[in-house]
Amino acid sequence: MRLQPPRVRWNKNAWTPVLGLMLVVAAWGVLTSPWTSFSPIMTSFSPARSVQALIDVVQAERTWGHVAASLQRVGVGLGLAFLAGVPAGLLIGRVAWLDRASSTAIQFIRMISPLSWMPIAVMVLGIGDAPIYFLLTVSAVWPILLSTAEGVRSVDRRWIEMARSLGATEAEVLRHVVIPAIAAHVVTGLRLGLGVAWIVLVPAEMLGVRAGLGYAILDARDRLAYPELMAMILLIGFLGWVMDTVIRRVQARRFHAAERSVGEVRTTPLA
Amino acid sequence: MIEISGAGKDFLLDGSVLQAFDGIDLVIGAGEIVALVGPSGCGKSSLLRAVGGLEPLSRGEIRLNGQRIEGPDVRIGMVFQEARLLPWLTVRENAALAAKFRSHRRRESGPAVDELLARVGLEAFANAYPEQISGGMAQRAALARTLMQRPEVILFDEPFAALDALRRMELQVWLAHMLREQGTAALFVTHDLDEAIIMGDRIVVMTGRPGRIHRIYDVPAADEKLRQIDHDPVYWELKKSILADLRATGGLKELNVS
Ligand SMILES: Nc1ncnc2c1ncn2[C@@H]1O[C@H](COP(=O)(O)OP(=O)(O)OP(=O)(O)O)[C@@H](O)[C@H]1O
Ligand SMILES: [Mg+2]
Repeated sequence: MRLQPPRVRWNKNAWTPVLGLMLVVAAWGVLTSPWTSFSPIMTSFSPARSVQALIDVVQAERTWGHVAASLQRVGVGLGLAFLAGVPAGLLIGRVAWLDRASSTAIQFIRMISPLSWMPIAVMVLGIGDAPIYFLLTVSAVWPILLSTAEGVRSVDRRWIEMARSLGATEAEVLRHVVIPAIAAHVVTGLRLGLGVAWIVLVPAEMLGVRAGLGYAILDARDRLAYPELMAMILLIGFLGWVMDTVIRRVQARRFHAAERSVGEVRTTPLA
Repeated sequence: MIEISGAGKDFLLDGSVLQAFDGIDLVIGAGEIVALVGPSGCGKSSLLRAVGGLEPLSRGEIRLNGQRIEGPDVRIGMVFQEARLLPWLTVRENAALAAKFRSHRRRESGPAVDELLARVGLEAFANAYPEQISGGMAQRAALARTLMQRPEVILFDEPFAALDALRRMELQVWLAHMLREQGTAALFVTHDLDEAIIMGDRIVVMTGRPGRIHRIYDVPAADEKLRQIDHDPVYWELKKSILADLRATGGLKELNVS
């Protein structure tokens, strides 16, 4: 029986990330201060002015319209990538010849920056949300697909045998053994997919749409509102970090539930 | 009833054909427990997997109640050497796994899972996850999972090999009793002659590779033997005779000769 690892207390270690963040802010301050920066325009992007702009930005209703537009696009793109990537990953992970047939093609396509498809996407799908959905789906589908396939490949064959001997059909093996076994892999794929999609989102929104965080950056530039531009960048980073943290938390809660209850079990008398 | 006739299995190993076992004829009657001993590598596990429908035979056939076995069947349960519990399910959910499958639900309802867990001494661990219990407990949970399936025949592949001697003895006695009480037949592979004698109504001794049936012993007084094994000369003789067989077939090295 495994013993519970000692609980991590609120100690110095918890402050290390804060220290790192403070160093980044300090470097940012140095690069944008009137005395040490290499260009006068840099002072518009200083931490103080950016934070001030951020306070205004988060109070503006317009900002949340941009955030909503971006989140909705990432949601749709990630959803489509999930719907395409998980079944494809299941197939590729389970059928050996499909794996061999597709692996080179997938590695090839995966290495093409999703943004390269932009002109084609606009030509085919027109201007608006559709080409952005397409680009986000294309960016997020590969990590989801590959991670799912890897999960399927690493499912213990002996579990499948066990289920078959209990009378499970192929479909029941898939539902009760393979899919739960790969859940952690799928969530990892989603997390990686979200990361890529969030990165691709901003440039994708710089073309042909009039809402979203990418558009807001260009808009701030056109209005010469440089501190606001920097505030938008901070907001993008912050939202990305929040989403990633949420997925990580869900992952930890869902897949390490077993470990968390070790302590409870230890208090029961041994049978 | 299981009827094995003319069964043989070949493997392709490094480009050459390896005969694991050959010419096996064996009938396991309803409710009968047959222990299978033999040198390591003589094809015991392979035979068990063929009976369980996990791998096809190369020659011959296996029938369950007259019907040819083509794949896994709910009426045949398997207990593997490892517990094979699903780590994301609790002990209770693992034990009740069969209930999730349609082939199982079509049959009349079986024993309550909590009752079974109590019988294997795991009631206090029903909500624990596999990584929180010991190897012996995991094996008992696996046993409960197979019993939950209510098979007519259970195939055991050295199920207690990983347990400590005390726990093993306890489970042997309990299982032999339980199988007889329920009228469940069993094919029980073991390296432990005491275990074969405690569990079996008959003991099949196999030769080295390719494994064939060397001899079949009837174990006397199945009901009484549980307590008597260390004291009754009948069992000493039986054990001596099986040991002599195994020595003759060259399989002694691997055996537990306590
Ligand atoms: N999948 C496989 N591919 C190739 N050879 C195999 C395979 N499975 C088993 N064998 C071979 O078949 C022979 C019998 O193996 P098996 O596992 O049935 O023996 P066993 O009697 O169960 O041995 P042990 O008592 O050590 O468990 C061995 O020589 C083994 O190498
Ligand atoms: Mg074996």
